[in-house]
Amino acid sequence: MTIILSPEETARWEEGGWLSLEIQETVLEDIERQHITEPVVMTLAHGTVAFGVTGGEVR
Amino acid sequence: MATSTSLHSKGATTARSVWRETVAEVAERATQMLPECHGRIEAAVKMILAGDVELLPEGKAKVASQSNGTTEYIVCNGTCECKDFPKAPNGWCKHRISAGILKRVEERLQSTVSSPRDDHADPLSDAPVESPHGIDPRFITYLHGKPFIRYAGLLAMAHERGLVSLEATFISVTDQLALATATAVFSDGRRFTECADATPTNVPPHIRPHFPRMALTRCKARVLRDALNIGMVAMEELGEGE
Repeated sequence: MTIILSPEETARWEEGGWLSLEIQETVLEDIERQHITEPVVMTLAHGTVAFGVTGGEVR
Repeated sequence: MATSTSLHSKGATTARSVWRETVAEVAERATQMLPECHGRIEAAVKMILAGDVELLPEGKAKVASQSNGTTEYIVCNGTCECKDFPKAPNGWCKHRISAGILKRVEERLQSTVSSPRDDHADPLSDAPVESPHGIDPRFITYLHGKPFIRYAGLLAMAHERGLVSLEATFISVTDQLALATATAVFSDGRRFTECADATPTNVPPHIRPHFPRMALTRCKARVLRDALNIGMVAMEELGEGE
């Protein structure tokens, strides 16, 4: 499964630091809440891969 | 027919013996590797022999509780749901140990290739993937591909290694800058001191109104990193845009 971050989220991700962490943790919470068990690839709005999630953890 | 039954019975007995011997061998190896978990390994072996451990797909395992007949714990990705997991050395509770032993036993028995024993291999094959600095992966967060250790992990490791005192105090606090210092003392007498700062702009947005507190957390994280010889930056030390 691939999830694409919005342009606003992409901008925050690219800021780095706490803003990135906030997005990463929000994504993990969403995945857990929706009981998604398959691997997830998070991509930025412009198509670059941000990170992957398997087994509830960022890879 | 009687012969067939007899042979089958003998074969089953032999297979059972081999299986039990293999469990004992792997458990012995586990005891050598994890001497501090001797009691938990003994309990794990009992659970395996009682058939209370079931390996599941994707490296997971289901282990029945010994304390009651209804609870089952799922062991997954080097973690367990039981109450002992956070307290056990490096998270090696009896459920996780039992899953690790059984997995290794099955691998050995299923192996058809005759190869020399790997005495350097971890006896518990559900061991977490090796992580930087040998730190338990539960305490590491990856961000932009870089590993950061969690303060909770530093504290847990410090307690394991004899932390007896950890004190942090403010050096100065203004509305734009907080400076703090922390001292950690260990049971062998070693003493470490470090400083750290926090400003309203280098803390998470939700902590901004209370940014001085982050200076305390950061200096404690730094002093524990010094004491534990960990070069990896703590997540709590992270500033905005780093």
